[in-house]
Amino acid sequence: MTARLRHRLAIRFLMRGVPVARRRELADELLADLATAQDAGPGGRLREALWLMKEARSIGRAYREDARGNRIESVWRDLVHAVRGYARTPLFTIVAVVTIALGIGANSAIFSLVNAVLLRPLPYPAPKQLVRIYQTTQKTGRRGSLSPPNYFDLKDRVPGVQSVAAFWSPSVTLTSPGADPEKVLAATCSYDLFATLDVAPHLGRAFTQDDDQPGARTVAVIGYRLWQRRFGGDASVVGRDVMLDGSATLVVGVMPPAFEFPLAGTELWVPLRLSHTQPPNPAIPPGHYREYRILSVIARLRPDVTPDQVRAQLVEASLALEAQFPDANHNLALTAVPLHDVVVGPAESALLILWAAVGCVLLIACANVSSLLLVRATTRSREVTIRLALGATRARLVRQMLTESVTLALVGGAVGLVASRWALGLLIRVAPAGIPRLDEVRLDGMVVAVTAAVAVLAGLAFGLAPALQARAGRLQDGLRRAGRSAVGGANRRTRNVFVLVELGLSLALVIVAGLLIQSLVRVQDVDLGFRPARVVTVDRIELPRARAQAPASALFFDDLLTKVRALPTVVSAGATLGLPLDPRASFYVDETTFSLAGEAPVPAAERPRAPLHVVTPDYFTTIGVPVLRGRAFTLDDRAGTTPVVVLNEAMARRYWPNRDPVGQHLTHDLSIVPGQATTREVVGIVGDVRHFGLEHVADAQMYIPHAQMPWPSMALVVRTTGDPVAIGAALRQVVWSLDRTIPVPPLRALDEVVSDASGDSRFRAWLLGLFAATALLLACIGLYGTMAYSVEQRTSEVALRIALGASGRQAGAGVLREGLVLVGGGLVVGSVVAFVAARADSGLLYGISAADPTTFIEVPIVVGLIGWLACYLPIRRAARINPLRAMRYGAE
Amino acid sequence: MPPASALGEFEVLVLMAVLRLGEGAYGSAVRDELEARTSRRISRGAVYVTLDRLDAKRLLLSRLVDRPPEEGGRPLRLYRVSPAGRKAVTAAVSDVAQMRTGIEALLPLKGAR
Repeated sequence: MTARLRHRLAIRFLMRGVPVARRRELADELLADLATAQDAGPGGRLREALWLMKEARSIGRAYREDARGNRIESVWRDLVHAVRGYARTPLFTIVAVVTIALGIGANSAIFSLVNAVLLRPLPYPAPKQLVRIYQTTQKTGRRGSLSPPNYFDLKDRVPGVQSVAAFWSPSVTLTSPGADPEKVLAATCSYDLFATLDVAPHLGRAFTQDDDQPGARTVAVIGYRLWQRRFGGDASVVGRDVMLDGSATLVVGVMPPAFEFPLAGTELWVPLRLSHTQPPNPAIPPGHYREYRILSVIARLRPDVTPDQVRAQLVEASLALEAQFPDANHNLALTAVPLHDVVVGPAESALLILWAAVGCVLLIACANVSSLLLVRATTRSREVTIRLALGATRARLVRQMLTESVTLALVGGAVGLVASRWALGLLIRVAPAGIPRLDEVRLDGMVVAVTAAVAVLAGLAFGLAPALQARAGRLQDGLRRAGRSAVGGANRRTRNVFVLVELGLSLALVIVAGLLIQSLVRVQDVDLGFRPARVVTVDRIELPRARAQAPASALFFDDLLTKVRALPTVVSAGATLGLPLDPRASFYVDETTFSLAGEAPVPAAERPRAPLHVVTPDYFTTIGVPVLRGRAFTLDDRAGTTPVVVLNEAMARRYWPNRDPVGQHLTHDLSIVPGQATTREVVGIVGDVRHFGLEHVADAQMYIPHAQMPWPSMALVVRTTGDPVAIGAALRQVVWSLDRTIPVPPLRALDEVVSDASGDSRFRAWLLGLFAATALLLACIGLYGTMAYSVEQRTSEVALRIALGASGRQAGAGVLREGLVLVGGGLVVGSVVAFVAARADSGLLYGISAADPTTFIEVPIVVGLIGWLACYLPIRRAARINPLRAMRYGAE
Repeated sequence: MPPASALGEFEVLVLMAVLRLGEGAYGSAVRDELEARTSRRISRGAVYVTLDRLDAKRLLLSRLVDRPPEEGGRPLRLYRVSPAGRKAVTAAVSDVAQMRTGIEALLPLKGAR
């Protein structure tokens, strides 16, 4: 490349922005000047080149700034022109703005949810490095807790981990003189939990290793909300004692606001103070400490370590621990799961589906607005023609149209954003417990930014069709008064495609919503196995540690229930270890391995497992579980009498398929005291109860009487004839008459517990149904509008046919056929999309297949009928026209 | 046609420069003239943009002439002021003159221009 050529290329680049013709001239002038200057001054190739570049840059910059100024000026003019135009056609503007606001607003609201729950990282430093460590059961893969000895050993055996902490979440009772005892959700944790999460206290200090030793002075760290609520934000609470579960506890620190690890609502942390060798419960033999699985474990990985690497290290550690302690750690399997997945995982698919649904609604809204703009563009063809004649370039026209459509979109977006704020508030209120991190959901800067971007993109998208038509000069034909203008043609094709896509998408949404709604109905219809009406629950009554030993606990609950039964309007009362359909059911009710009498002995790891419930005698009658064979428990089943057990029907059928299990014996391993197996006689069979979830078919489950395993923490169930909630005060008095320090949580009707269990399904079905209805409405409006306009375009043709003797219906047949083709096409497209989408959601469906034939046949028929109506109505209106009038004034 | 009062100050200066230069008014010459006579640094880009703008406003008329072969032979665009341009400059100058009377008392003007 010669220097000359290089210069020319460089000059061309520097002078971009200068009109092409002028560029050549200016380049020539520069070179000419350079030539004359050379005669005068000293030479130097470099200086020449620099001079050239400098001058060329100055020229290019001057032209570009000038053009920019012009552009800004013209964009402003376009804006003003657009606003004026919209003000002149208020009906169009309102319809368009409302449609856009619907689409964008819904997206805003759902995106706020998705952003806070799924996208935003957890509120801890370097959250990707936090993992939960679980001990998994070989057969079921169920993730469970670790025992303290295993946890302690683990700390040194996983090199990829920077810090490992453990925690456990009981609730504790806070008492202050003069105030009611308050039950507080607490976490007992290892001293290094806060360090692992990397969160420093707001006030005071966190725990030290000394605080975490058995026998150390009881200390606690309290949460911000608790600090404000109960101690008035008084800084002097640090260093003071509070009464926790009856013992004096020194408050050493206050956590910052919004810190609620591990569960939302955790307000207090106390050290675990676990010994390495001695189990905390004195009844547990030290030899079985390693099987006492009570700890949840969280670890922070070193900055450069990945979860996969840690998993590999955990496998090694598991093998080593199993080799070292073969009995306790038989088939030990440890794994790590990123904390984000644990917190967010369950809600992920539901939220993504909702997001996809609102995306469809937005697409449909954009298509509608685009159709509206196309129609509007044809009415402005005269203006366009004049502009072109006055010298506007086509590019300029396109820019003008896009400016107008983006303006419209931004206005609609702003309205939508405001509406979504309100909608989001509503959503958060009705959202089910299954959605995590709801406290972090807000309409923040990120959401506003994304909404603005979506609005601009939407504006560009729906402005594209009319803009392209302006560019192709198809709008010019308006000046020609032909019968059926070419404008109608291209315009109509585009609009027809839009309608087809809209119908398809909305059909898909309606089908998926229909599947979810039927799913919900089926979930709500399942046979619970008990009758919740008129039953109230208290979750739960817990004895303070001082009174938690077996005999005292048995006596307490016996007394309590006797007194409760004596209350007026109480029909029966009972207590249970865990309430049915409680979201934390599997936390309270543990599974136990068991073996059947008369069968060959099987090693512990291979034995069958079943949940073990602890209930009082009247539990079954109180909640309405039928006794199918034998008997339920009586007051005669006590400590010291024959140990008994009641099975549910599923267990009876599974393990004694051809015999009556009543009278048989089984031995279970779980007990208050691990390692102490108990052999019990089967005395009765009860009906199956859906204890662990509406969607979980009841498996084998067993029940043992409270008197024979007096757990100190039980939930109450009470059947009343009167107003359930009215007995709340009376109940509280009964409890306090036995022990003033026991807090009594507010009553809840069992009906409410049951209804909450289907909360997730309900939420999903409602929202998706709402979106589907909106989508269908928008699509029908679009279809109606397109049909009406089509009819209007061909009024003269229709009128002619009528004048020549055709009936109104025959005359309109052509238009109707066109419309029905669109509807049919939309149904086909929609069914295919629905099929694919339903398969993706099949995890959320209950009791209904993702390809349910009834739904896939009935819904398209209904939507097709609605579509047909949307076609037929405008045609019918048009068919009543006066042919002469129509022909005289014609269509333009 | 925009009224003469819509002319920017620089536009007036460029018009005046073209007037002065008579037949030899092309881009670089206009720039040199402005730099020599006014007290400012004139950027080439500003001059060319303004010449184009005045040309578009029909206040200047331009034509392409061929350069003599010794200077490269490429065409050169020469400008002259149109009648409308003359009117515009006249109006601008008289406006300034009107405002100027008596201003010596208020400003230290270096030499008469």
